[in-house]
Amino acid sequence: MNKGIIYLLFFTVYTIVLLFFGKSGFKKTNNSRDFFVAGNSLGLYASVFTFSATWFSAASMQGVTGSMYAIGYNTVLYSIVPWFLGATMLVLLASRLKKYDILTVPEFFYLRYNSKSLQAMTGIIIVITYTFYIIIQIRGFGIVISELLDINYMVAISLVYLFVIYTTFGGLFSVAKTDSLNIILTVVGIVLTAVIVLSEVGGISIIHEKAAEINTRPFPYYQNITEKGGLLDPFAKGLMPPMITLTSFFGWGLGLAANPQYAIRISSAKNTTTAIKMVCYSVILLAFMYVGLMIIGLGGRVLEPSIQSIRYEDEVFPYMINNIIYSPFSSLILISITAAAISTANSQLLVAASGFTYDLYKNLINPSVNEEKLLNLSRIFIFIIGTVSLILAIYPPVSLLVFGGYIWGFFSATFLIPLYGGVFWKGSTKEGAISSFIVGLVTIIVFMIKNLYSTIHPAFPSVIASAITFYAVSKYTISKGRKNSEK
Amino acid sequence: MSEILGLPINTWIIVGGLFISSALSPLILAIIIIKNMKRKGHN
Repeated sequence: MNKGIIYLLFFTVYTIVLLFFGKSGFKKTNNSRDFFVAGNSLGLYASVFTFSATWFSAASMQGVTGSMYAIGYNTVLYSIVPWFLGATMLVLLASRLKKYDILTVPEFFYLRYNSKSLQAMTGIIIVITYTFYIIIQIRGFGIVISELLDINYMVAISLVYLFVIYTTFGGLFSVAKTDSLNIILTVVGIVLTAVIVLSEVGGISIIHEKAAEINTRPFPYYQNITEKGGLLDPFAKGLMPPMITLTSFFGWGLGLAANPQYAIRISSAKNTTTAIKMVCYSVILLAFMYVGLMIIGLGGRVLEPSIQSIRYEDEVFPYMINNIIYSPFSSLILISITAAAISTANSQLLVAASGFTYDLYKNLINPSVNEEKLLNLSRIFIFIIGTVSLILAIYPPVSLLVFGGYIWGFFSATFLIPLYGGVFWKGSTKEGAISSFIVGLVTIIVFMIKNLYSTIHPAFPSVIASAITFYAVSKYTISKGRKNSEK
Repeated sequence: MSEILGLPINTWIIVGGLFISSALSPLILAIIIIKNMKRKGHN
């Protein structure tokens, strides 16, 4: 049977199963609590599946694999270790956040600081940031599907748009249900590919021995030629200096720790213990998945040290499956790559919709809006954000992993300090939180526009400025309040 | 330079060490927090 027909067959089956899984959420959703946080009812398995599937996006599946192919083990230090450290902070957050019973993270800012303006400002940041981040998923899916079905990239990204919007319309119940399907598919895809790569090359030792000898340019448009031994060097033989690697923690790591899509998973878990276990069990599952991606990326480089027909590192994984290690499993593996993109995009779309309908519309414009209207408005907004992301994905960023780190940096610059400060420090004040948010936002925008120090991540100075402002202004407003009451 | 499974020792220590310790740190913290919650009769 023709390769294209087999792919189309698998894709059709996946579509039918996904639509079937997504349908269940529509029946269960009666109000905004059901829609945004699944009625705070998710058990441990459902929570682990939806947390892991939301985490493991195209930036992981294609970004990490492509980066392992291009620069080697530095990828682990640049992205994976910061992510896991960010997850450690989420465990801390899970122990305290549940009692606030929030539907959105901006709602926490309202409850903790009694500030509707901070709720609205953070709602706007969520809408903008996720609109950009969803581009990553749409592009990730588009690359694979255009390769898989041999169709135009534009047609391919329109397909993901329909998938994501459908699965998000049913709210978090639908998202969580389809997440369980997608994460299982993703794990199967990684295991199959890693086994095929290991058997093709002859084992992990041979991968390392051959990778140490490689000194080619990974693909024609890539700016650096790999130095001998660079793929196995922690800092890629100077290609990724320690400073940029260390400060990436402020973008990727702290951005993950302050990320609303994870905080909402804490809120949707049925109790505090479930929320805490969800984070640490998910990280262990993810660690095994990343080991699989390391084998695939590095093994792919050994099998084909330079790929002439691709432009970006995110195309490495689908190219490998379709060309270097084509097998009877290729259809299933390519579907698993798209599953990673879909399961993250629908979660992000849901959080983005909550930023508009709950934190802006209900908060500022129409506080007495009824539940039915709020749900309909959320679905309209899901459609609008999905469409904007689709249009922006026509001219996508060069590297999903680097772009993602910069986008996540916005969360570490603006959300991190007011969120963790509010949960863990009784002395934090509304004025401290608002000024910290503004200073963090201005700093990261200035550093990104000016690109002032290219050897450090722009989130690094932003988080420090935000933290100093938060502490100083909170202390000042408390002492000012004391003086006023003494008068 | 000595190697294990074809990978230099310093990469095992820096990359492997940080990868494993960062993957286990949420679990270790969770065990401490949940024990503490039980001790205080916290859920």
